[in-house]
Amino acid sequence: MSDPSKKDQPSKDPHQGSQGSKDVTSSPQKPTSQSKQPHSKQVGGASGKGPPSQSTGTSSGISAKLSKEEKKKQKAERRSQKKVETGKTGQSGATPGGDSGQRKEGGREKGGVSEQMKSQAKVIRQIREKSLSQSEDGKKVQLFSHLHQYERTQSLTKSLGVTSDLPPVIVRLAIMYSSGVICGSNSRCLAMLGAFKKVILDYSTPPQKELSRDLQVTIKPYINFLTTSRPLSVSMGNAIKWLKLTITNVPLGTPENEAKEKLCTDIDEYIHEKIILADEAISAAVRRGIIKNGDVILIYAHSSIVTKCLIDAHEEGIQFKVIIVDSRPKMEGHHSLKKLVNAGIPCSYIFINAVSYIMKEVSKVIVGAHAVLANGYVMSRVGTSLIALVANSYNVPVLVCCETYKFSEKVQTDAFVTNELGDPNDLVPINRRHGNILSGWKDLTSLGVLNLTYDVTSSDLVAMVITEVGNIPCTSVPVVLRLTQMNN
Amino acid sequence: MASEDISTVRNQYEDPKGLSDAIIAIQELLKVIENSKAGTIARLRDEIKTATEELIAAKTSTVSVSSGSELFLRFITLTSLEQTNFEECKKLLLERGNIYLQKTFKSRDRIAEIGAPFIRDGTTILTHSRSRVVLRLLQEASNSGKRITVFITTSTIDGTGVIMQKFLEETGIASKVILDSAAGFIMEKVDLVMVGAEGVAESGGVINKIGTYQLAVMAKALNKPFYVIAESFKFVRMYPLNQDDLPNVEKYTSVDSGINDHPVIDYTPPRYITLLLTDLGVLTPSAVSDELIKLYM
Repeated sequence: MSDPSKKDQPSKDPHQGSQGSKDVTSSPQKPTSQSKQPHSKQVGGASGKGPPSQSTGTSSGISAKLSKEEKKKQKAERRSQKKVETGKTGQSGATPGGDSGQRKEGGREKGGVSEQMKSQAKVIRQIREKSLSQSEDGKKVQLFSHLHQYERTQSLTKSLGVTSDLPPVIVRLAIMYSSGVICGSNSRCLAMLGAFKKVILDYSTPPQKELSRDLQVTIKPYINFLTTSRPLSVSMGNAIKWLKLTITNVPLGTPENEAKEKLCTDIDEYIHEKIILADEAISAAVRRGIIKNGDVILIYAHSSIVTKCLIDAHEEGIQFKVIIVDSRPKMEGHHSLKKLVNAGIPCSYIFINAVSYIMKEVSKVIVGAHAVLANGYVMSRVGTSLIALVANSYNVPVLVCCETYKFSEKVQTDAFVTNELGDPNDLVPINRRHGNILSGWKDLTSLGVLNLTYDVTSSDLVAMVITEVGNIPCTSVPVVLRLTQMNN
Repeated sequence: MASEDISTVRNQYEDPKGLSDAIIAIQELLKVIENSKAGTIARLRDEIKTATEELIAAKTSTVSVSSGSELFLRFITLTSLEQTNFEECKKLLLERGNIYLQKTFKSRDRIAEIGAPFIRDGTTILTHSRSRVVLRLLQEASNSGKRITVFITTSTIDGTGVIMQKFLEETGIASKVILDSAAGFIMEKVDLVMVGAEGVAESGGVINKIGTYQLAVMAKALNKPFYVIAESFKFVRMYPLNQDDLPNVEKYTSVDSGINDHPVIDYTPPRYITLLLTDLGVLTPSAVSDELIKLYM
């Protein structure tokens, strides 16, 4: 398998070779692979590989970048020829780290899976190599150079030939993620679980294999592929962990149809319990004690659980007003605004730069969360910690609504260590008056454009986390984690 | 419950040397169970509920009574009652109830033990209103030979601060009553602030006699440690975000003292509290939620 790859990109040798080849053992020496690995380790939430290379990754990443720069310049011409041939494919640099990390797992898995893994790996390698060729065009801000920047310039699917054995439902899902059609922690997780249900139903155990082992192995490359479109959210990561555990626990010797049916029922139950019922419980708690008559509630962007709580509270007859805060480039507040106005709730809409002006009118701030970390810090859409800071300075309590399946065992105190870098080109169109003042940003060496997706709000800024197990202070998140682990 | 019972209960509440309000309430509830003529668990539970409401109405501020009663109820009905015979059930409930009561009797002793190292020889303490637990703790410290000085705020409305000072004098502790408004003035002279609690909320904050919040804010401003002394049955499943979230029925009193519109309790948020000294141990405000989850599981 290594020969065809070398034929395609003979120039890639030392640097790319470690990432591209199946030579699992060579990666420790290669600085470029280390620089990408932190990303892969964090992204593969389900695989749970610790980030031992993370600390070394960032420092070596910078020096690696410099040497990579030089060598890239040398090979640029040869590569540009290849570019024209094959067309630009794949997310720019989306997979290098992801694959080398996952590759190791693939490499360690011996036996019959190697065929499937090889072909899958080859496809992913091709995508990555092509996208690497233009990753130099993607300018990254120095402080976030250890993170991968997701740019939507390339088509995910161009490199996937007819022979690709990725199920179409997974490809469809990846495209929906990368284009932003499915956005939001809960929706992404639900869509993913739905897709995996289909995968399980279509799956047939190869002869001489056990479903509980083989199915896991089959799913791995699909997860990798999903990661190339957008990094896994914490909710998705937890769901995948649970799914892998459930698959492993399928008793040996169960007839295939029974096992598949049982898995599908389990997935349905998980969705029902952890998401749907949890949302009901949170909504009930909010209606019961949180929102009172005459309240002015401030919400940010769009959170499915927060809008649900507000609509249910309104239906119950509680009189309150809502202020929706929105921000570029995603403008998710429009979605909230539509939903709430249609429900008949009196709303105001402001931009995030006006938050300090409006805050003195606000009685409570209610936000959703992408994840709540083990030290009580809340990871949410970028802009949330700004709102929490302003709210605290006006003594307005900040409440976070979050289902317990989004609780993560990670500990993070800032938004630099792990984050998701969105496409910087999304920030370029400003408004009619200023036109495309930023359109030439790539040519200016002194200008960088940064499009962060998440930020981390400190636990002392949050008054309460509303979950389906009750209203808890931020600091009690590890208690809930401990109890759920005990129950498992 | 008969009306004579209610009036005896009210007197007992007022007895400063006596048992904690919640313990009195629990004793009454045990009596209710004993004398109950109900034939089913559901009926019995209803009787207990009505009795609890009457007990709550007998006192001006009811947080500790309601929390104590609820915890008591949970404790006695914790494990499943498999006996089919109702009499057996009742006996079991009474047994467990007495065990719970014995545990709570010892809670003040336990707190005095735990809190002893916090008061050193020569410490000046500021306290608020009259708390039997704090009184016990201070007496224990004084009896073990430490020389302490205590300032007590008058806590107008019922002037309980003055009563507290009398008891401290009886024990031989140097004490002085100060005006509520002089708390800021005196704060630089004290080493630590110690208050009791009516209820400890899930957030780690405390609900206590009006004026506690002010003391806490001033203590924080001058970097003095603020300790709350409370037994574990005062942990209540409330999560107030601000003063407004306290239930009105507990804030305002209808006892004719002529000051009907003034709140009698306030809420101190957890960020002003250094530590809580309880019979479960010394807790930080964030640990209260952990303990509550354990207690209510």
